This record gives sequence, C-alpha cells and structure tokens, in this order.
Amino acid sequence: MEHFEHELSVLKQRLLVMASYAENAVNRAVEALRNRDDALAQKVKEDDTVLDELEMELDELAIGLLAQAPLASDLRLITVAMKITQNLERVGDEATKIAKRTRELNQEPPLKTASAIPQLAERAVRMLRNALDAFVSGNTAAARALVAEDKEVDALNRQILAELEAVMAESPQNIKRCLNLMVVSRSLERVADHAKNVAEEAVYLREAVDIRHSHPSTAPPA
Amino acid sequence: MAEHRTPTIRVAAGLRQGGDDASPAAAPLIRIENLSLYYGRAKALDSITLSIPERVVTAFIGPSGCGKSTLLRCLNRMNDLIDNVRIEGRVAIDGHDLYDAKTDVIELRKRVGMVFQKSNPFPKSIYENIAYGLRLHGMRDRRMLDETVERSLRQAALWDEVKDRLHTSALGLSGGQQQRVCIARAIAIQPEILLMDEPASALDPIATARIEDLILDLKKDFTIVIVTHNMQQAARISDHTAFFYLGELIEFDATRRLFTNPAKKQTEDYVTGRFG
Amino acid sequence: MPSIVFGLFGLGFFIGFVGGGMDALLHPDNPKPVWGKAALIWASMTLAVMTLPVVIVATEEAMRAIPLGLREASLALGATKLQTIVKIVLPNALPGIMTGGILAVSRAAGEVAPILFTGAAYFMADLPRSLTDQFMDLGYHVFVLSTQSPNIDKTRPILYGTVLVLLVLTFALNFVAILIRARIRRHVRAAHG
Repeated sequence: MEHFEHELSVLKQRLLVMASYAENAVNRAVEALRNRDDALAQKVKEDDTVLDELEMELDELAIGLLAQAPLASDLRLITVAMKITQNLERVGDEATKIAKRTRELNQEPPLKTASAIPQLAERAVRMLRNALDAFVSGNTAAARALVAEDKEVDALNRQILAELEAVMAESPQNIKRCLNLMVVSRSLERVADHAKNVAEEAVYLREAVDIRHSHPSTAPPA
Repeated sequence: MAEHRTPTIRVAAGLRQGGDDASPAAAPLIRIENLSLYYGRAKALDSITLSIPERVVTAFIGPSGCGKSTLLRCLNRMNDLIDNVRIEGRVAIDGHDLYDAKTDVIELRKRVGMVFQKSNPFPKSIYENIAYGLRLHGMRDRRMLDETVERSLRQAALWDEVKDRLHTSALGLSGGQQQRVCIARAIAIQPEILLMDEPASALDPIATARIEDLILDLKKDFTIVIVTHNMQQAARISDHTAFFYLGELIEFDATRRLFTNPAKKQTEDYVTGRFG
Repeated sequence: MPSIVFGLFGLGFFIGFVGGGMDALLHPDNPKPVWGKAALIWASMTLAVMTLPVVIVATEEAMRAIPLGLREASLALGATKLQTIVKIVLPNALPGIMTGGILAVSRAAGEVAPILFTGAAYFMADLPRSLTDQFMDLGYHVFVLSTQSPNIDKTRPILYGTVLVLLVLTFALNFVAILIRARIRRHVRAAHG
C-alpha cells in the first residue's frame, strides 16, 4: 500500500508541476503579446517541449497506477489526472500559437482597434488559475462557476471576431494583422475551454458527478 | 425438482440500503431481517438486514472474520452443522422463514445450492459426482440421468473437455476443472439460488477467469451470492455488493457505485486498501 | 485390561448369565447344560469383546479421516447425515475399517487366557461340530504339551509341529487380510484417480 500511495503522490506532484508550467506559458504568451516582446515569445515556443514531455511522463505514471486496479477515489484521481494532463498540454499548445502570432504581429506596427483581446486574455488566465486551484482545494462551487463563465468567454470571443471581421472588410491593408489577432482570440477562448474542462474534472474527483455537457447551473446532488 | 421460473424483466437499478431507490429494483428473493448469529457467547453477525435480488450476482466483501462466509452459510443452514450456534432474526426466501421449525432443511438445500472454496468433488467418476445429487432426490431413469448430467456439464462449460471421460475419476482433473465439476454438481438439481464461497480463490488466474465467465453466464438462470476477498473480482462480476466489517453490514449498493464512489468512509478505506 | 479378566468376564456373563438363561428357556428339562457351558460361541464372543476397542478406534479414525469438505458437499446437496455416512463416509473409510479388523484378528489369534474358561479344551478327540461344542486351541495346546506331557520325548515332535502350524496359520491369516485390504484400497484409489 505504501508503494502505491507513494506512486500516487508522485503523480499528484508532477501534475501540479505541469500545471504551473502551463499557467506560466499562458501568462508569458499574453505578456509577450501585450509588450510586443519577441524574445519572450520565442521562449514560450521553446519551452513547450517541457509540457509535451510532462504529458508523456504523467500518462506513464497513470497507466502504471491503473495496472494495479485501483478503486473508488484512487481510481477517480488517476483518470482525472490523465484528463487534466491532456488539457494542460493543449493549453501549452495554445500558448505557443499565441507566441507565434505575436512574433508575426510584431513585424508590423500595432493595430489600433478597440478589441477586447486584453480583457479576454485576462479572463482566460484567471480561469485557468481558478480551475487548477479548485482541483487542488476541492472547491466544487468555484469549479461550477467556471463552467458558467466559459459561456461568457465564448460570447466575448465571438464579439472580438466580429469586430475584427468588420475592420478587415473596411481596411484591407490590415487583413494580415486582423487574421493574426483572430487566431490569438480563438486561442485564448480555447484556453478558457480547457480551464472549464479542468473544472469539470475537479467536480468529478470530489463528488463523483459528471457535469460535462450539461447545463452550466447543474447543482450538486441532494 | 424445482422448475425453472420464467425470467422476469428487470430494470437495472441501484439498491442503496435504506430503500430510497426511485427506479423499480429487481424483486428481492432473499430477505434477511435483523439477523444475528452467536457462536456460544461470541456474536459473529450483528443485526444484518439485507435484501438480495433475484437473478443477479450479489457479492459479499470484507476483511477476514467479518462474517461474510458465516452469513452465506445461513442461507442454506449449513451453520446448523456447527455446535453452539444460535440464530436471532429472520431469513426468508420467497417469504418463507428458513429457521422456522416447520422448514424442511433437505428441501431448502435442494433450492439453495453451494460451491465451496476448496473444490470437493467426491472420489467417484465425473458422471457419478453429478448423478449423486440427482439420485438423492429420486431420479432413477438412466436416460434422464445421462441427459441431466450432460446438461449440467454444458451449463458449467465443461462438457467438451470431459465428454469422453465421464466415467473416469473426477480427482484426475485440474483444479479449475474440479471446481467446475462441483458447480455442475450443484446446478444439476436445479436450485434457484447458488451460493459460492470464494469459489476461485484456490485457482490460477486463467482458471479464475473461466469461473468468472461462467458465473456471468449462470446468472441468467440462477440467483447468485458470492463471497470474495478479491475486490476486483467483485467489481468484475457482481451487480450488487455488500460490505461487511466485524459482523456488521456497513454498506450495500450497486457494484459500480460502491466501487467508484462509496458512501461510507469505512467502505472507501477497505476498497482502496487503506484499512488499518 | 489383562486378558484373563476378559476370560473371567466371558465365564460369568456369557456362560453363566446368557448361556444359563438360554438353557432355562430352551432346554428346561435337560439336566446337562447345552448353552451354559464352555463353548465355541462363547469363546468367540469373549475374544470379540476383548478386541472391540481396537476395531472401534480404527473405524472412528477411518471415518474421521474423511475430509469435512466431502461431507459438507454431500449435505449441501440435500443429503441427510445418514445418507452422507452411508454413501460417502463408509465406502471411503473401508480400508481403515479393515485395518481395524486385521489388527483385531491378529490380536485375538494369539490370545489364550480369554478362551481358557470359555471354550478351549485340554483334549478333544474330534473337531467341534456345533457352536455349543468345545474346541482345541493351538496356543493352549503348546502350553499343554510343554508342561503337562507324560513322555516329553514322544510329544516333542508334536509340540514343534503345533508351533509351526500356529506360526504358519497366523502368518497366512494376516497375509490374506492384508491382501483383501490392499484390493479394497486399490479400488478406492482408482476412484480417487
């Protein structure tokens, strides 16, 4: 039992390490975008390999634990960990996309639009942090709130895309920059999606209730 | 001989102890009410109340000495064989109290069969092992015996392996085959209920897997109660699971629920192997 | 218990009580005792009583050696205790029971004291013809020839002959009994596979 418990705690630790790398990646990508920082953007791109390696490491740890036929909360923890790992890896990919687009945007002067991208970025970053906190702390109320918030983020993204479309139609010389910004917006929206997924897994871990694909205001069972 | 009942349509349902199930559960066949059992002064079972549904597999799990085998043996009154045993409470099958003075124990054991942990075929031929119970209850006609022996061996997934050596000794078979002879022997007299006390614990993994497959097949025709110390086995083959500790029933629920999200911390601790 | 005590018991109980009672019932007018005297039947019964413990112990052991699992299997199928004993326990305990029998026969074959008062005769011209007749016993005869012979040289060959016959018979008896047991054991073992 001790051996298993130790392996389990290694799994948790490595997962938290991966979480902090993923959060970092998004934060730095957003910062590079805001500050038009090529060097930082390049760093984000390079550091993505760490997340890829961590994903593989965690999957292996999880499989090894599953082979021991765990049950109940152990079983839930391991399957949740695998799902979160996948989401974190994709978050890293989105951060890399943002970084790439940042470098492209930096080749031209900044586009003056009233787009809500900074707002979207702030929300995505915050959602990711809150989701990971909820996973660690077991605060399922906060986790459920994130599911609702994701709908708002989706709306915000659509609004940004519409605005950028309008700008493109109006002034064709801005097309390249608009397209890059659209990609950035979508990536941020996906980061929020992944944060929502992490929140759903956090609820499953704590309550053994699957709240995916259901109404955002799913209340906990009686 | 007990006739086969026509299968009733069951809705797969959770059966949390306490009866708050919203959906219709399988009709309970065995009702245990406040059953306590004493070996002299020592209390081995403490006020067990449990309903075992029909035509599903119910598993009893718990650490050694928790009373799961003792409870199993109450269901066919095999505990009668032990001196100094006292029973309080009620065990009813189809409404009839097993421990009522008027109950015919022989008839009970025809309706409730048992397979033991260590396979115990008689030192006779395979055929004679299975014919033993049939002859006991009056079957004489040679052709009927032949047919019933074949049917039982087929049901026990053993016919093809032994059909050419029915009259050789059962003790010449492998452990897993011997246990299947014992299963065939038990089901030959067509009981309604089959009690299995750790039937695969003495077998290797392949033989165990075959027994487990067999149990999953048998449950269409029999109500099965199985005692097991192997939780993964219970998770694999049972529909409902009851967890016992120190003679008490701690939790009884649909297997899937009990093994992914048990209600009681004691159950969670046992199932995840973190018992003290 | 010293075997002479069995002899006295045989005398008092079988010959005096049972035999006397039978005479009173069956031959009330016969002045000479028919049953109430030293006889083949009483000597046999005395030996049987003497060797009873051996047979009982061996039988008990043999039956107890049948594993509980077999008995439980039988009972769980709806057999009564009696059916279980008759169909499962006894057939498989037979070799052990026979061993008891062999031991009993061996023990009895060598005994003289119990039959001294209950049936053995100093001398008889003919072989016994019925259960109520007396008989001569080889062991007793050896004693008689060794100690009570009027002409030791003439009787020595008879003595040696008697001892030889006694030994050969005992040996043969045991041998046959063991053979029978072995055959039964083989029978049971064949069923064991």
